[in-house]
Amino acid sequence: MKIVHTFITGLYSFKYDEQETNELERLFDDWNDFEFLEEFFDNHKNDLKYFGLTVESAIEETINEANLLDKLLLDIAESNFQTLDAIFKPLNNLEFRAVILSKQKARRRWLRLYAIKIEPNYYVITGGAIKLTHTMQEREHTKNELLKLEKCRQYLQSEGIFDLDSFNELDI
Amino acid sequence: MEKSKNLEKFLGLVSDEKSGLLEKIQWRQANEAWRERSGKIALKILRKLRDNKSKDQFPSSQKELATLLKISPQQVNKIVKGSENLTIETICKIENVLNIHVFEYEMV
Repeated sequence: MKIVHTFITGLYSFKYDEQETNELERLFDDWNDFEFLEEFFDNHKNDLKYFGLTVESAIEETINEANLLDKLLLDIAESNFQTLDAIFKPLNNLEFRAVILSKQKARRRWLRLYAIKIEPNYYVITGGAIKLTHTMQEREHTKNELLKLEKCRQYLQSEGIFDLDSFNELDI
Repeated sequence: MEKSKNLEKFLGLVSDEKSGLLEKIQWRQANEAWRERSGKIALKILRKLRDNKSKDQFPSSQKELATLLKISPQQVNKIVKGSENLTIETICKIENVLNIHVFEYEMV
């Protein structure tokens, strides 16, 4: 695996050997890819019942949220005053949550980016997910993100790098 | 401010490889209007193919659709990802072979 610059100061992303692109780029590709989204939501139709959504409406809301995330990343890159620490905030001892006051709120907010915090304002993205359940343990695809986190942490530790013992989640 | 040794070690590990994310975001933002419509078409195609598959009807895959449209499977794949700026001709062909309505037409 390797670590790649993003276009945002202090924000980096892992790139896994089996993937063509780094995690941040791959996730944004997937979240804007109708083929990926249709397959994903069709496989998780039962979870959508909880939200009262069809596959079509879930995709529409996800695209809307992904569009807001695109704009958010551009805002962060252009911002002279906003730091990553202000965007990533702790939810509990396992997850950090980003709280952004924006003029346009997404109706649906289930896109997640996961990151390890190296130092204040230095984060490295380990992965992300469309989170349809309350906890990550409830579904295979989100459980897998926890495995990826641990793998990344072990890699960093093998290189003598220690994180701030926190797992961070970006949420708009 | 001086960086900590931990951070310096981390930064030393970062590869020279560049991410294409910024260019992709800028492209998406610049082409937002037609992408929205292209995405709706992509979704209609995907749902129709899935429905056909469940009923054992033709076409039920991107490969079969490509054959009917006389284009490559790679081109069909671009269309169903929602990132293709489709011609009206292609839209009409899709409507005909899949027996779906992509747009609502208004008589003027």
